[in-house]
Amino acid sequence: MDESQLIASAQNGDLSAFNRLVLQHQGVAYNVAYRIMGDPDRAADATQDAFIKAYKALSRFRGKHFKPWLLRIVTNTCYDYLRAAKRKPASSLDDDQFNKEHTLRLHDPGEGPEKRLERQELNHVIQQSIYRLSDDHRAVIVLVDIQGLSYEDAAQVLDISLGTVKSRISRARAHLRTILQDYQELLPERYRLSHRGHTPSAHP
Amino acid sequence: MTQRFTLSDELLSAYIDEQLDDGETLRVEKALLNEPEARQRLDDLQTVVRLLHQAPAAVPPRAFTLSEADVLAASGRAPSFWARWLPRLMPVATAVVAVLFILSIMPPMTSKEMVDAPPPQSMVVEAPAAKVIEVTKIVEKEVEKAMPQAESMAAASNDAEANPRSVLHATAAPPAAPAETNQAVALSAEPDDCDSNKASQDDATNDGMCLPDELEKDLFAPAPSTAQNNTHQVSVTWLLGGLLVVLLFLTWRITIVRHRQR
Repeated sequence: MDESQLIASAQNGDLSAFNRLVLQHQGVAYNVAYRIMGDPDRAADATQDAFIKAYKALSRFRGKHFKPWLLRIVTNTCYDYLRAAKRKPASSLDDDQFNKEHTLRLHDPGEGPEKRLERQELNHVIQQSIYRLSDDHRAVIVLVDIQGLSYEDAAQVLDISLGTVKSRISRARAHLRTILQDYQELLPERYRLSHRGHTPSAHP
Repeated sequence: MTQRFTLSDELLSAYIDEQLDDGETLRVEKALLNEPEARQRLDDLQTVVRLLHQAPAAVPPRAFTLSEADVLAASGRAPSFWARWLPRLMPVATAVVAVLFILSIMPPMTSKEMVDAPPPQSMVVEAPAAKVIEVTKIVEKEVEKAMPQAESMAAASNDAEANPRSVLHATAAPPAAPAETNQAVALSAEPDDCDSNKASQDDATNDGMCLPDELEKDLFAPAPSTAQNNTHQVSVTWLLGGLLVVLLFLTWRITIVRHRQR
Protein backbone atom coordinates (compact mmCIF):
# COMPACT_ATOMS: atom_id res chain seq x y z
CA MET A 1 0.00 0.00 0.00
CA ASP A 2 1.56 3.31 -1.03
CA GLU A 3 1.42 6.57 0.85
CA SER A 4 -1.64 7.96 -0.90
CA GLN A 5 -3.59 4.78 -0.15
CA LEU A 6 -2.49 4.91 3.48
CA ILE A 7 -3.62 8.52 3.68
CA ALA A 8 -6.99 7.65 2.14
CA SER A 9 -7.45 4.77 4.57
CA ALA A 10 -6.43 6.92 7.51
CA GLN A 11 -8.88 9.61 6.42
CA ASN A 12 -11.59 6.95 6.56
CA GLY A 13 -10.71 6.26 10.19
CA ASP A 14 -8.20 3.43 9.76
CA LEU A 15 -5.89 4.00 12.72
CA SER A 16 -3.43 1.30 11.68
CA ALA A 17 -2.97 3.03 8.31
CA PHE A 18 -2.24 6.29 10.08
CA ASN A 19 0.22 4.53 12.38
CA ARG A 20 2.04 3.20 9.35
CA LEU A 21 2.38 6.78 8.14
CA VAL A 22 3.67 7.69 11.59
CA LEU A 23 6.31 4.99 11.45
CA GLN A 24 7.39 6.16 8.01
CA HIS A 25 7.81 9.79 9.02
CA GLN A 26 8.54 9.75 12.74
CA GLY A 27 12.32 9.85 12.16
CA VAL A 28 12.32 13.08 10.21
CA ALA A 29 9.60 14.55 12.39
CA TYR A 30 11.54 13.86 15.57
CA ASN A 31 14.82 15.13 14.09
CA VAL A 32 13.22 18.39 13.00
CA ALA A 33 11.73 18.81 16.46
CA TYR A 34 14.98 17.90 18.16
CA ARG A 35 17.02 20.38 16.12
CA ILE A 36 14.51 23.18 16.59
CA MET A 37 13.90 22.52 20.28
CA GLY A 38 17.39 21.46 21.29
CA ASP A 39 16.08 19.16 23.99
CA PRO A 40 15.40 15.46 23.29
CA ASP A 41 12.58 15.05 25.80
CA ARG A 42 10.68 18.16 24.77
CA ALA A 43 11.27 17.22 21.15
CA ALA A 44 9.65 13.84 21.78
CA ASP A 45 6.67 15.53 23.44
CA ALA A 46 6.33 17.98 20.57
CA THR A 47 6.55 15.17 18.02
CA GLN A 48 3.84 13.19 19.78
CA ASP A 49 1.61 16.26 19.96
CA ALA A 50 2.25 16.95 16.30
CA PHE A 51 1.13 13.46 15.29
CA ILE A 52 -2.03 13.82 17.35
CA LYS A 53 -2.73 17.16 15.66
CA ALA A 54 -2.02 15.57 12.30
CA TYR A 55 -4.53 12.82 13.00
CA LYS A 56 -7.17 15.38 13.94
CA ALA A 57 -6.44 17.49 10.85
CA LEU A 58 -6.05 14.60 8.41
CA SER A 59 -9.58 14.93 7.09
CA ARG A 60 -8.65 18.40 5.83
CA PHE A 61 -5.51 17.20 4.03
CA ARG A 62 -6.10 17.54 0.28
CA GLY A 63 -2.56 17.75 -1.10
CA LYS A 64 -0.32 15.06 -2.48
CA HIS A 65 2.79 15.77 -0.41
CA PHE A 66 2.28 14.41 3.06
CA LYS A 67 5.78 15.05 4.40
CA PRO A 68 5.79 18.87 4.04
CA TRP A 69 2.26 18.99 5.44
CA LEU A 70 3.32 16.92 8.45
CA LEU A 71 6.52 18.90 8.99
CA ARG A 72 4.51 22.09 8.97
CA ILE A 73 2.51 20.75 11.89
CA VAL A 74 5.72 19.67 13.60
CA THR A 75 7.41 23.07 13.24
CA ASN A 76 4.28 24.92 14.36
CA THR A 77 4.06 22.67 17.40
CA CYS A 78 7.72 23.36 18.15
CA TYR A 79 7.06 27.09 17.89
CA ASP A 80 4.21 26.69 20.37
CA TYR A 81 6.51 24.87 22.76
CA LEU A 82 9.25 27.49 22.36
CA ARG A 83 6.79 30.31 22.98
CA ALA A 84 5.51 28.57 26.07
CA ALA A 85 9.07 28.06 27.29
CA LYS A 86 9.84 31.75 26.79
CA ARG A 87 6.77 32.71 28.80
CA LYS A 88 7.82 30.35 31.57
CA PRO A 89 11.61 30.03 31.37
CA ALA A 90 12.55 27.04 33.48
CA SER A 91 15.93 26.26 31.99
CA SER A 92 18.10 27.25 29.11
CA LEU A 93 19.94 25.11 26.67
CA ASP A 94 23.23 24.08 28.18
CA ASP A 95 25.71 21.29 28.00
CA ASP A 96 23.68 19.09 30.33
CA GLN A 97 20.98 18.77 27.72
CA PHE A 98 23.41 17.13 25.36
CA ASN A 99 24.24 14.43 27.78
CA LYS A 100 25.95 11.22 26.97
CA GLU A 101 22.75 9.23 27.14
CA HIS A 102 21.28 11.14 24.27
CA THR A 103 24.37 11.41 22.13
CA LEU A 104 24.56 7.63 22.22
CA ARG A 105 21.13 7.58 20.62
CA LEU A 106 22.46 9.42 17.57
CA HIS A 107 22.23 7.15 14.67
CA ASP A 108 25.42 5.65 13.20
CA PRO A 109 25.80 1.94 13.69
CA GLY A 110 29.11 0.11 13.53
CA GLU A 111 31.53 2.97 14.20
CA GLY A 112 34.64 2.89 16.40
CA PRO A 113 35.03 4.76 19.69
CA GLU A 114 37.20 7.48 18.18
CA LYS A 115 34.76 8.11 15.38
CA ARG A 116 31.87 8.12 17.79
CA LEU A 117 33.59 10.70 19.98
CA GLU A 118 34.22 12.92 16.99
CA ARG A 119 30.60 12.59 15.92
CA GLN A 120 29.39 13.48 19.37
CA GLU A 121 31.58 16.57 19.44
CA LEU A 122 30.35 17.55 16.01
CA ASN A 123 26.76 17.15 17.04
CA HIS A 124 27.42 19.21 20.14
CA VAL A 125 28.89 22.07 18.12
CA ILE A 126 26.12 21.99 15.52
CA GLN A 127 23.34 21.96 18.05
CA GLN A 128 24.92 24.72 20.16
CA SER A 129 25.45 26.84 17.05
CA ILE A 130 22.01 26.53 15.51
CA TYR A 131 20.38 27.11 18.88
CA ARG A 132 21.97 30.55 18.89
CA LEU A 133 20.04 31.44 15.75
CA SER A 134 16.61 33.03 15.86
CA ASP A 135 13.66 30.62 15.72
CA ASP A 136 12.89 31.47 12.09
CA HIS A 137 16.50 31.08 10.94
CA ARG A 138 16.91 27.87 12.90
CA ALA A 139 13.82 26.33 11.33
CA VAL A 140 14.91 27.06 7.79
CA ILE A 141 18.45 25.79 8.43
CA VAL A 142 17.08 22.59 9.94
CA LEU A 143 14.72 21.97 7.04
CA VAL A 144 17.03 22.84 4.15
CA ASP A 145 20.56 22.06 5.35
CA ILE A 146 19.97 19.25 7.85
CA GLN A 147 16.87 17.53 6.49
CA GLY A 148 17.67 18.34 2.87
CA LEU A 149 14.30 19.78 1.85
CA SER A 150 14.08 21.84 -1.32
CA TYR A 151 13.37 25.55 -1.09
CA GLU A 152 9.85 24.91 -2.36
CA ASP A 153 9.13 22.33 0.31
CA ALA A 154 10.65 24.54 3.00
CA ALA A 155 8.47 27.39 1.83
CA GLN A 156 5.43 25.13 2.07
CA VAL A 157 6.41 23.86 5.50
CA LEU A 158 7.05 27.31 6.92
CA ASP A 159 4.19 28.91 5.00
CA ILE A 160 6.42 31.62 3.58
CA SER A 161 7.37 32.67 0.06
CA LEU A 162 10.26 31.22 -1.90
CA GLY A 163 12.07 34.56 -1.77
CA THR A 164 11.77 34.62 2.00
CA VAL A 165 13.28 31.15 2.17
CA LYS A 166 16.24 32.28 0.05
CA SER A 167 16.73 35.34 2.18
CA ARG A 168 16.45 33.50 5.46
CA ILE A 169 18.72 30.66 4.47
CA SER A 170 21.48 32.96 3.33
CA ARG A 171 21.29 35.08 6.46
CA ALA A 172 21.16 32.04 8.69
CA ARG A 173 24.23 30.51 7.03
CA ALA A 174 26.14 33.76 7.26
CA HIS A 175 25.25 34.02 10.94
CA LEU A 176 26.28 30.44 11.52
CA ARG A 177 29.59 31.12 9.84
CA THR A 178 30.23 33.78 12.48
CA ILE A 179 29.02 31.59 15.34
CA LEU A 180 31.10 28.59 14.29
CA GLN A 181 34.28 30.62 14.57
CA ASP A 182 33.79 30.38 18.35
CA TYR A 183 34.05 26.60 18.07
CA GLN A 184 37.00 26.36 15.69
CA GLU A 185 39.13 24.32 18.08
CA LEU A 186 36.32 21.79 18.57
CA LEU A 187 35.78 21.21 14.86
CA PRO A 188 37.65 18.70 12.73
CA GLU A 189 40.14 20.42 10.46
CA ARG A 190 38.03 19.96 7.35
CA TYR A 191 35.25 22.02 8.87
CA ARG A 192 37.38 24.91 10.08
CA LEU A 193 36.61 28.25 8.52
CA SER A 194 39.31 29.99 6.58
CA HIS A 195 38.99 33.42 8.12
CA ARG A 196 37.16 35.38 10.77
CA GLY A 197 33.94 36.99 9.66
CA HIS A 198 34.58 40.25 7.92
CA THR A 199 31.54 40.64 5.72
CA PRO A 200 28.92 43.12 6.76
CA SER A 201 26.21 41.08 5.08
CA ALA A 202 27.05 38.08 7.22
CA HIS A 203 24.92 39.29 10.14
CA PRO A 204 21.14 39.28 10.08
CA MET B 1 31.43 50.38 -19.44
CA THR B 2 30.54 47.29 -17.36
CA GLN B 3 28.65 47.49 -14.03
CA ARG B 4 30.28 45.75 -11.06
CA PHE B 5 28.36 42.56 -10.08
CA THR B 6 27.89 42.43 -6.27
CA LEU B 7 28.27 38.94 -4.82
CA SER B 8 26.02 39.07 -1.78
CA ASP B 9 25.73 36.20 0.69
CA GLU B 10 22.20 35.59 -0.60
CA LEU B 11 23.48 35.16 -4.11
CA LEU B 12 26.29 32.90 -2.95
CA SER B 13 23.90 30.84 -0.90
CA ALA B 14 21.56 30.40 -3.84
CA TYR B 15 24.58 29.53 -5.98
CA ILE B 16 25.53 26.76 -3.50
CA ASP B 17 22.03 25.34 -3.64
CA GLU B 18 21.88 25.64 -7.43
CA GLN B 19 18.89 27.93 -7.22
CA LEU B 20 20.17 30.35 -9.87
CA ASP B 21 19.33 30.20 -13.53
CA ASP B 22 22.08 29.64 -16.09
CA GLY B 23 22.72 33.34 -16.73
CA GLU B 24 23.04 34.18 -13.03
CA THR B 25 25.28 31.18 -12.43
CA LEU B 26 27.63 32.28 -15.20
CA ARG B 27 27.84 35.82 -13.88
CA VAL B 28 28.55 34.60 -10.34
CA GLU B 29 31.31 32.31 -11.53
CA LYS B 30 32.92 35.11 -13.54
CA ALA B 31 32.76 37.47 -10.58
CA LEU B 32 34.27 34.90 -8.25
CA LEU B 33 37.33 34.70 -10.49
CA ASN B 34 38.01 38.37 -9.95
CA GLU B 35 37.03 38.60 -6.25
CA PRO B 36 39.17 36.50 -3.92
CA GLU B 37 37.28 37.88 -0.89
CA ALA B 38 33.99 36.65 -2.32
CA ARG B 39 35.65 33.34 -3.14
CA GLN B 40 36.66 32.97 0.52
CA ARG B 41 33.16 33.79 1.72
CA LEU B 42 31.81 31.20 -0.63
CA ASP B 43 34.27 28.63 0.75
CA ASP B 44 33.17 29.37 4.30
CA LEU B 45 29.48 29.13 3.42
CA GLN B 46 30.12 25.82 1.71
CA THR B 47 31.93 24.59 4.83
CA VAL B 48 28.95 25.58 6.95
CA VAL B 49 26.57 23.74 4.65
CA ARG B 50 28.84 20.68 4.55
CA LEU B 51 29.05 20.68 8.33
CA LEU B 52 25.27 20.86 8.66
CA HIS B 53 24.89 18.02 6.21
CA GLN B 54 27.06 15.96 8.52
CA ALA B 55 24.80 16.48 11.49
CA PRO B 56 24.05 12.99 12.78
CA ALA B 57 20.45 11.90 12.80
CA ALA B 58 18.88 11.36 16.18
CA VAL B 59 17.00 8.13 16.77
CA PRO B 60 13.48 8.70 18.09
CA PRO B 61 13.35 7.57 21.72
CA ARG B 62 10.05 5.78 21.14
CA ALA B 63 7.44 5.06 18.52
CA PHE B 64 4.92 7.86 18.15
CA THR B 65 2.07 5.67 16.96
CA LEU B 66 -1.33 6.51 18.36
CA SER B 67 -3.52 4.26 20.47
CA GLU B 68 -7.31 4.17 20.58
CA ALA B 69 -7.11 6.15 23.81
CA ASP B 70 -5.05 8.85 22.07
CA VAL B 71 -7.64 9.01 19.32
CA LEU B 72 -10.48 9.34 21.80
CA ALA B 73 -8.63 12.06 23.64
CA ALA B 74 -7.84 13.77 20.35
CA SER B 75 -11.46 13.71 19.24
CA GLY B 76 -12.00 16.50 21.76
CA ARG B 77 -15.70 15.92 22.22
CA ALA B 78 -17.42 18.56 24.26
CA PRO B 79 -18.19 17.48 27.82
CA SER B 80 -21.76 16.39 28.47
CA PHE B 81 -24.30 18.47 30.36
CA TRP B 82 -23.78 16.49 33.55
CA ALA B 83 -19.98 16.60 33.25
CA ARG B 84 -20.19 20.37 33.08
CA TRP B 85 -22.86 21.04 35.68
CA LEU B 86 -22.57 18.21 38.19
CA PRO B 87 -19.42 19.58 39.86
CA ARG B 88 -21.19 22.92 40.33
CA LEU B 89 -24.56 21.56 41.42
CA MET B 90 -23.19 19.01 43.85
CA PRO B 91 -21.98 21.46 46.55
CA VAL B 92 -25.29 23.36 46.34
CA ALA B 93 -27.31 20.17 46.69
CA THR B 94 -25.13 19.09 49.61
CA ALA B 95 -25.64 22.42 51.37
CA VAL B 96 -29.41 22.24 50.89
CA VAL B 97 -29.60 18.69 52.23
CA ALA B 98 -27.35 19.65 55.14
CA VAL B 99 -29.71 22.48 56.11
CA LEU B 100 -32.74 20.19 55.87
CA PHE B 101 -30.95 17.58 57.95
CA ILE B 102 -30.12 20.10 60.67
CA LEU B 103 -33.73 21.29 60.73
CA SER B 104 -34.96 17.72 61.00
CA ILE B 105 -32.80 16.93 64.03
CA MET B 106 -33.70 20.10 65.92
CA PRO B 107 -35.83 19.34 69.06
CA PRO B 108 -39.60 19.94 68.62
CA MET B 109 -41.29 22.79 70.51
CA THR B 110 -42.36 22.11 74.08
CA SER B 111 -46.02 22.28 75.07
CA LYS B 112 -45.47 25.68 76.66
CA GLU B 113 -43.91 27.00 73.49
CA MET B 114 -46.82 25.60 71.56
CA VAL B 115 -49.28 27.38 73.83
CA ASP B 116 -47.40 30.65 73.56
CA ALA B 117 -46.96 30.38 69.86
CA PRO B 118 -49.78 31.60 67.62
CA PRO B 119 -51.65 28.71 66.04
CA PRO B 120 -50.79 27.97 62.46
CA GLN B 121 -53.42 29.18 60.06
CA SER B 122 -53.92 25.71 58.64
CA MET B 123 -55.04 24.35 62.01
CA VAL B 124 -57.95 26.76 62.52
CA VAL B 125 -60.43 25.48 59.98
CA GLU B 126 -59.53 22.56 57.79
CA ALA B 127 -62.91 22.20 56.04
CA PRO B 128 -63.58 24.05 52.80
CA ALA B 129 -66.02 26.94 53.06
CA ALA B 130 -68.73 25.33 50.92
CA LYS B 131 -68.77 22.25 53.09
CA VAL B 132 -68.94 24.33 56.23
CA ILE B 133 -71.99 26.13 54.94
CA GLU B 134 -73.60 22.85 54.01
CA VAL B 135 -72.91 21.42 57.41
CA THR B 136 -74.26 24.51 59.05
CA LYS B 137 -77.56 24.20 57.19
CA ILE B 138 -77.92 20.56 58.11
CA VAL B 139 -77.18 21.29 61.75
CA GLU B 140 -79.77 24.04 61.83
CA LYS B 141 -82.42 21.64 60.53
CA GLU B 142 -81.45 19.02 63.06
CA VAL B 143 -81.62 21.53 65.89
CA GLU B 144 -85.13 22.57 64.96
CA LYS B 145 -86.27 18.97 65.00
CA ALA B 146 -84.46 17.96 68.12
CA MET B 147 -85.50 20.73 70.47
CA PRO B 148 -88.08 18.57 72.37
CA GLN B 149 -85.49 15.98 73.06
CA ALA B 150 -82.99 18.45 74.47
CA GLU B 151 -82.89 16.95 77.86
CA SER B 152 -82.09 13.48 76.77
CA MET B 153 -79.50 14.83 74.44
CA ALA B 154 -77.82 16.76 77.24
CA ALA B 155 -76.73 13.51 78.82
CA ALA B 156 -74.83 12.56 75.77
CA SER B 157 -72.94 15.84 75.71
CA ASN B 158 -70.48 14.58 78.31
CA ASP B 159 -69.17 12.02 75.87
CA ALA B 160 -68.97 14.45 73.00
CA GLU B 161 -65.89 16.22 74.28
CA ALA B 162 -63.80 13.19 73.40
CA ASN B 163 -65.21 13.07 69.90
CA PRO B 164 -63.43 15.15 67.24
CA ARG B 165 -66.67 15.65 65.37
CA SER B 166 -67.88 17.90 68.11
CA VAL B 167 -64.93 20.22 67.66
CA LEU B 168 -65.52 20.45 63.98
CA HIS B 169 -69.26 20.92 64.40
CA ALA B 170 -68.61 23.64 66.87
CA THR B 171 -66.19 25.37 64.58
CA ALA B 172 -68.40 24.99 61.58
CA ALA B 173 -71.61 26.15 63.22
CA PRO B 174 -72.43 29.87 63.32
CA PRO B 175 -72.59 31.50 66.74
CA ALA B 176 -76.27 30.86 67.35
CA ALA B 177 -78.06 29.98 70.56
CA PRO B 178 -76.25 27.75 73.08
CA ALA B 179 -78.83 25.06 72.51
CA GLU B 180 -77.68 24.76 68.93
CA THR B 181 -74.20 23.87 70.00
CA ASN B 182 -75.52 21.26 72.39
CA GLN B 183 -77.65 19.81 69.67
CA ALA B 184 -74.77 19.63 67.29
CA VAL B 185 -72.65 17.87 69.87
CA ALA B 186 -75.45 15.48 70.68
CA LEU B 187 -76.06 14.67 67.03
CA SER B 188 -72.42 13.89 66.56
CA ALA B 189 -72.36 11.63 69.56
CA GLU B 190 -74.57 9.08 67.86
CA PRO B 191 -72.89 8.18 64.58
CA ASP B 192 -74.02 4.57 64.66
CA ASP B 193 -77.66 5.52 64.31
CA CYS B 194 -76.92 7.03 60.98
CA ASP B 195 -76.26 3.70 59.37
CA SER B 196 -79.43 2.10 60.63
CA ASN B 197 -81.52 5.04 59.44
CA LYS B 198 -79.81 5.30 56.08
CA ALA B 199 -82.89 4.63 53.96
CA SER B 200 -85.09 7.05 55.79
CA GLN B 201 -82.38 9.72 55.53
CA ASP B 202 -82.32 9.47 51.78
CA ASP B 203 -86.06 9.65 51.46
CA ALA B 204 -86.66 12.41 53.93
CA THR B 205 -83.73 14.67 53.00
CA ASN B 206 -81.64 14.29 56.09
CA ASP B 207 -84.52 13.88 58.45
CA GLY B 208 -82.58 11.10 60.10
CA MET B 209 -80.13 13.63 61.61
CA CYS B 210 -77.08 12.33 59.73
CA LEU B 211 -74.60 13.92 57.29
CA PRO B 212 -73.98 12.61 53.76
CA ASP B 213 -71.29 9.90 53.63
CA GLU B 214 -68.72 11.81 51.54
CA LEU B 215 -69.04 14.90 53.65
CA GLU B 216 -68.75 12.92 56.79
CA LYS B 217 -65.64 11.16 55.56
CA ASP B 218 -63.97 14.43 54.62
CA LEU B 219 -64.83 16.27 57.74
CA PHE B 220 -64.22 13.60 60.29
CA ALA B 221 -61.13 11.89 58.92
CA PRO B 222 -58.97 11.05 61.91
CA ALA B 223 -55.88 13.24 62.32
CA PRO B 224 -52.50 11.41 62.43
CA SER B 225 -51.42 10.72 65.92
CA THR B 226 -48.33 12.17 67.61
CA ALA B 227 -46.58 8.78 67.59
CA GLN B 228 -47.07 8.53 63.86
CA ASN B 229 -45.64 12.02 63.44
CA ASN B 230 -42.57 11.14 65.47
CA THR B 231 -41.95 7.97 63.45
CA HIS B 232 -42.31 9.92 60.25
CA GLN B 233 -39.86 12.56 61.46
CA VAL B 234 -37.26 9.97 62.44
CA SER B 235 -37.55 8.36 59.02
CA VAL B 236 -37.06 11.68 57.28
CA THR B 237 -34.04 12.43 59.48
CA TRP B 238 -32.44 9.11 58.63
CA LEU B 239 -33.16 9.62 54.95
CA LEU B 240 -31.66 13.11 54.95
CA GLY B 241 -28.66 11.91 56.95
CA GLY B 242 -27.94 9.12 54.48
CA LEU B 243 -28.40 11.44 51.53
CA LEU B 244 -26.08 13.97 53.13
CA VAL B 245 -23.34 11.36 53.60
CA VAL B 246 -23.63 10.25 49.98
CA LEU B 247 -23.56 13.82 48.70
CA LEU B 248 -20.57 14.72 50.87
CA PHE B 249 -18.68 11.69 49.55
CA LEU B 250 -19.52 12.50 45.91
CA THR B 251 -18.57 16.15 46.37
CA TRP B 252 -15.25 15.12 47.88
CA ARG B 253 -14.53 12.70 45.02
CA ILE B 254 -15.44 15.27 42.36
CA THR B 255 -13.21 17.87 44.03
CA ILE B 256 -10.28 15.42 44.09
CA VAL B 257 -10.74 14.47 40.43
CA ARG B 258 -11.00 18.08 39.30
CA HIS B 259 -7.91 18.98 41.32
CA ARG B 260 -5.96 16.18 39.63
CA GLN B 261 -7.15 17.27 36.19
CA ARG B 262 -5.73 20.73 36.79
